[in-house]
Amino acid sequence: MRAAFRFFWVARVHSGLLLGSLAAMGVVGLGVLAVAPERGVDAAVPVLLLHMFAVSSGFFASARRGHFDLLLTSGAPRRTVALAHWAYSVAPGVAVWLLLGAGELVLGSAPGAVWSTGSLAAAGLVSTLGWAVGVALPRFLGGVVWLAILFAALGAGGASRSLLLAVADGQGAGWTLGVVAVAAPLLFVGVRLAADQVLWVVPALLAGVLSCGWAVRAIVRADIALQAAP
Amino acid sequence: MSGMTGPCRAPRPVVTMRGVGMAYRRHEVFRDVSVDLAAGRILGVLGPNGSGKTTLLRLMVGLIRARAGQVLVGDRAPTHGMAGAPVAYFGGEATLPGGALAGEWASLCGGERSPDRQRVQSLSRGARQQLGLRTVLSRSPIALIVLDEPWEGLDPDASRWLSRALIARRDEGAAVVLSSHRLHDLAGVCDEYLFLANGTATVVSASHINPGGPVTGEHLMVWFERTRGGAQWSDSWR
Repeated sequence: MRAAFRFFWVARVHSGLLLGSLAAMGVVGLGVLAVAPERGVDAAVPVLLLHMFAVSSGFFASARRGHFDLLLTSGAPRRTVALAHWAYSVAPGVAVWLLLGAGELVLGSAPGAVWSTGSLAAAGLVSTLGWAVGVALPRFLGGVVWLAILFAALGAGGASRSLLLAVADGQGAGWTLGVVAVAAPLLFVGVRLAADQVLWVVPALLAGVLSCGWAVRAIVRADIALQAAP
Repeated sequence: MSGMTGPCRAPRPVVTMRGVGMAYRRHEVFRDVSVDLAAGRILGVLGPNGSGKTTLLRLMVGLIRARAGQVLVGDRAPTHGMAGAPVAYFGGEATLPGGALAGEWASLCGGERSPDRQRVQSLSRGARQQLGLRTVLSRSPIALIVLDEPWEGLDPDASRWLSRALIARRDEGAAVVLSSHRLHDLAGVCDEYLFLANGTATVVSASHINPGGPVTGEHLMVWFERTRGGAQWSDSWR
């Protein structure tokens, strides 16, 4: 696992620009929390947004260009390769998220936005579903799709806009909460879910975990034929 | 009973392919390919573009699975890169990730980490090819080396280094599989040849191609024309 993780580091699965942006957002977020501890949402949303792009690291697009041949023929089990790719994909975003959370605990007077149930659900969904969907997509496309869904739903106005705004205000209810959690996890940042609301979000989180299992299985079973670079 | 008094037995092959067929959707690449490659032997794979050389090599290292037949590396199928023997595979400089640092990449198979901070994409094509080759050849131990077009982009000095390195690995007991269009380079190192054309494979030993003498690129060209049943492809080699 360690060797596979190191391989993805050397192969630069994450670009320097993305890692630098995440680090910068972490520093800016800590600055925001230092000045106004109650503004945890403002600190956390940009980090989760970048995390959405980071986890969409596109395993198959790189593998079919032969970028992972050295690892895939090293004798490491494919399952280990897949899990290491997931861990490497989510690690930078999770690290910055934990940094913000620690900052919030130290600087804030009460458990704040980063540790709210809605924030944790959003981070969990992005870290699982985002990677799983991104496995089969070109790099970053998962993040683009998530943003497109969010803006399309908000821009459509009417019932969908009202629903999204209600969820962001912590007023969502029923199965639509689970749907919104999957389609627009950004809206959950800072939301304190009541117990009955958590029950509707749990299936979405389970779907995220199951999608990870599906993606690992797909990597284990895949034929990695070589494609010409575009 | 001691093996010394019994009949001389051939060493167990490192690579065994039996009736292997491959197709992408409805397009058949090749069929019924059978070959045994023993330790300490070098197999050259020849064929026109699109004949399935790269596919055959990726089958051997378990990156893809055959649609028919059986592939064994050591004593088991190399599914999911888990061959029954340690493998070194390189598919060419285009397969290296451009953002990697050359010095870090070179250390991935146990080689020394060099202070080279250049990104792979900033290296020349030949330098990238050498980096990839040196990295996989630094893996140890290796029972099977599989290289796709290894001489591409190399200058004469680097080509000589590669040929010598492959012969040295063969003499240490590794089985080696090479695909190339550079017939003179192939002829200088291979013990056996697999000609792929028209979806079929023909395996011929060097001693059969030119009994009593070294095989040259011209010999290989003649043999390919013979196995293919036509002469037009040889023009693209000249």
